[in-house]
Amino acid sequence: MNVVRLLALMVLLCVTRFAVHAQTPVPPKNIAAASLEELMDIEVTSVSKKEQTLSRAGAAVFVISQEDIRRSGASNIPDLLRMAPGVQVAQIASNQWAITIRGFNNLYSNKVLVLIDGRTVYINSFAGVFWDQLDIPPENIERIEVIRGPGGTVWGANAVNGVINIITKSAADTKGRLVTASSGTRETNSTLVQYGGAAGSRGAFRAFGKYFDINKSTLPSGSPAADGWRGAMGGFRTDLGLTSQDTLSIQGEYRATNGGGTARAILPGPPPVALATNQPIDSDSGDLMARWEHTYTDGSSTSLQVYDSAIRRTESGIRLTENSADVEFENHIGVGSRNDVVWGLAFRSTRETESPNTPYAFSVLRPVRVDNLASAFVQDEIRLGKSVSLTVGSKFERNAYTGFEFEPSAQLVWQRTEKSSLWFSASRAIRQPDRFDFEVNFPYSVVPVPGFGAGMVVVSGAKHAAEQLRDFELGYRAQVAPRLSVDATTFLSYYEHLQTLEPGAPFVRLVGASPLLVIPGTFSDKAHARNFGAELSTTWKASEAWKLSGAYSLLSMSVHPNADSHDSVIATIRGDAPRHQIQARSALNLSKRVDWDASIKYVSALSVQNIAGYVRLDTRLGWRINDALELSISGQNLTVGKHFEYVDISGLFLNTAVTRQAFAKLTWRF
Amino acid sequence: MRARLHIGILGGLLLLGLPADLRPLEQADEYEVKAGFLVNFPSFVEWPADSFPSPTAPVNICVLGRNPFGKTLESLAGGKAVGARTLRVRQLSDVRQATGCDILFVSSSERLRFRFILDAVKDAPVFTVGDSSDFIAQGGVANLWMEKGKIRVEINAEAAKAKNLRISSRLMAVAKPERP
Repeated sequence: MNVVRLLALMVLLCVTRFAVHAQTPVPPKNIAAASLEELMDIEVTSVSKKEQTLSRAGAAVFVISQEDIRRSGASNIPDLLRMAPGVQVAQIASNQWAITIRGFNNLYSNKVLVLIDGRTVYINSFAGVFWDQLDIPPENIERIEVIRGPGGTVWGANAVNGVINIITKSAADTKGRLVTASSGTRETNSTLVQYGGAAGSRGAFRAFGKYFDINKSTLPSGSPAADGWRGAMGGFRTDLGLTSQDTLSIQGEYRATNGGGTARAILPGPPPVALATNQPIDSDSGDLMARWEHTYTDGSSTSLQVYDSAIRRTESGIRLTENSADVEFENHIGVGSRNDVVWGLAFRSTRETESPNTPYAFSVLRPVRVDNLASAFVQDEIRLGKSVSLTVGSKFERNAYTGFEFEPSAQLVWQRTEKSSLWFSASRAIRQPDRFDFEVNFPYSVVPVPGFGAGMVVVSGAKHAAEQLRDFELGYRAQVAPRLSVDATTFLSYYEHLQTLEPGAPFVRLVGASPLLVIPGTFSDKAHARNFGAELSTTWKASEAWKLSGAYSLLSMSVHPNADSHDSVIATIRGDAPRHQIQARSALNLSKRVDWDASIKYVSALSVQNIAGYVRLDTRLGWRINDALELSISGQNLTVGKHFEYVDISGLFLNTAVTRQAFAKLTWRF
Repeated sequence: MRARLHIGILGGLLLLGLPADLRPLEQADEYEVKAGFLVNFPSFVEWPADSFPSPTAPVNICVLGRNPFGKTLESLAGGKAVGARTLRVRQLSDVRQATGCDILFVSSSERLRFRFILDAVKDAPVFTVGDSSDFIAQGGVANLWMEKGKIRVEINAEAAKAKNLRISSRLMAVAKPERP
């Protein structure tokens, strides 16, 4: 992602300037005068991060650093994302999450693009993410960049409400042996073994293996759910310097998990019934990626990335396989003294199969489908003056469902002073429809029908337009005092062609000799929405040993069916994401070897789902016993015994209680 | 004595209307200290006579790759001189621009390219400095590393000799290998 690099560099320049300015308000003359011996006696108070980058200047970006990750005590990506403002993370069951940015939360939220090292982990069939397959050892994550707002110009379709960019460490940074073992009160165990070393004289590699098991949680009724799960994974990464200007990275992973869930199954009867049944969820997935980067003497660069990823999964009555091959080329060049141009080409081919796992549950028109996606983008950052820059660009793509689409954006950044900048952006993004939108046919729910007992709602896909977003944002970020920084964003988002479920005329079908009332529903694109909101985050370094940060997110959604729509419940989806989220985090170094972290987060009620607002308190105490060994104890959800975070109304998985738990973890590097 | 000096500096800064850095000398940020080493090295390294065009030509300190110092290195170098020579800081994006560099700091952002970079300046009288664990092994002359929160310097005497650089015994005396 050279675009990211380029823009990152731009922001980095500003940020470094802030940072340096903040930390050294005067030239440290005392250091200039110090002798070698005196220099060697100086105690280093704040160790600089090796890399600190923000993705884009004219966008709302929150970076979760390796230090944040290590100190959070979180053992999975969803829990890490809870610290980012504007992100809604809700756990449904021990292996199921609803995660989105700026609303439209769902078990398979489809408006956020998730990437690992530039590889998309979005599942084409239903445009969502299997979060349980996103299992990267936290020790190997360099940082997570959470970009709120559309990223279609650079990342393409599906980067509608935001982008979550997980960047893993270069193999050069993970040399040595690493063993971690953790165990928790809910019988959650996890072990990681990793070895990293030199790959010849010009590079480095790492290889790792991980095993975990997680116990089942409880249903609202108090009885145990069937969501216990376990998994094993292995992976490697190698980074090589081919010449002074070329680098090559190759990485791959394979994982297999098996578990289950208490999910709803619909039996046609007649009479039709919806039953909570315990179903297996078995998944295995793998990927292999190579990335070559060439840097020219003048600082411009070219990259080529190729990967293949595959998943096989059985879940709630569906057996799904998906295999994607993807090639991306990017070039970044300076044109004249005012223009920085990034352009790229990409091609992706995906082969999907879906088949019913049980005879009555689910069907698709074609058992196998191959989709191609071709795209090109160009973006130019134009320096309009000493302190103002304008970035304009667009993605152009051709997808198998809606044909040609374009996703333009413009960002204006005013570097107001050395320590503060103001930005404005306007963009269009789309969510490319998927196979579920167009081709599926499955029993969706059972509704009581007076005089008939019950009717079965059967949903069918149909051709319709891509969901579209036009988004306007205004942001401000500043280092208001040497130790205090603030980042504020407001947004106004207009959505069109949002997916609706249009009821058709009920009919009676004979099943054997008994009549079954079928209420057909067809996916369409007849809703629109106007959302607005704001996110405010601030960091205060109270002292060298104590950092405090806080965030507030407001989200106001108003979703309406179009005049020709008969979807009577679409307006209620505004209730699937909390209106307010408030959080505070404290990172305190009790001594050189002991860290204590705590975070508290309030999430307001999900009115439609009857989920009450809750407060979550997480804490971690870490002790570096020596340079090789670290022991940590973490507590999660300490405020209340148990709470619920999300009810999957659309109905696949039953929600389970999120309970209080404690972990102990031992990390050994040698 | 030290307290009075501090008050003096503080007073001067207040007069200039600048915020004062109140931290004692015993504490500083990582790259402030590392920049301190870089501007101190010229006093302890002797380059071959023909590496400078004139007796008053400045000592060039070059930074290759991502610059972790911000403006600190330049401001430190600005107030410093070694004999008749001043110090000058240059930012490079490619090792081929290193002609004329007397000290070359190779940023950790370049770690995959260390071998190529160091090979390119192998026979040149350039005092190469890094702050990555494999910098010496790849052929670098000096490496800055951290031990219990303090910066240490490791010197590769063989590499320095091959480059016709003479390192003062005072620098050699404080140098310490990263893994003893």
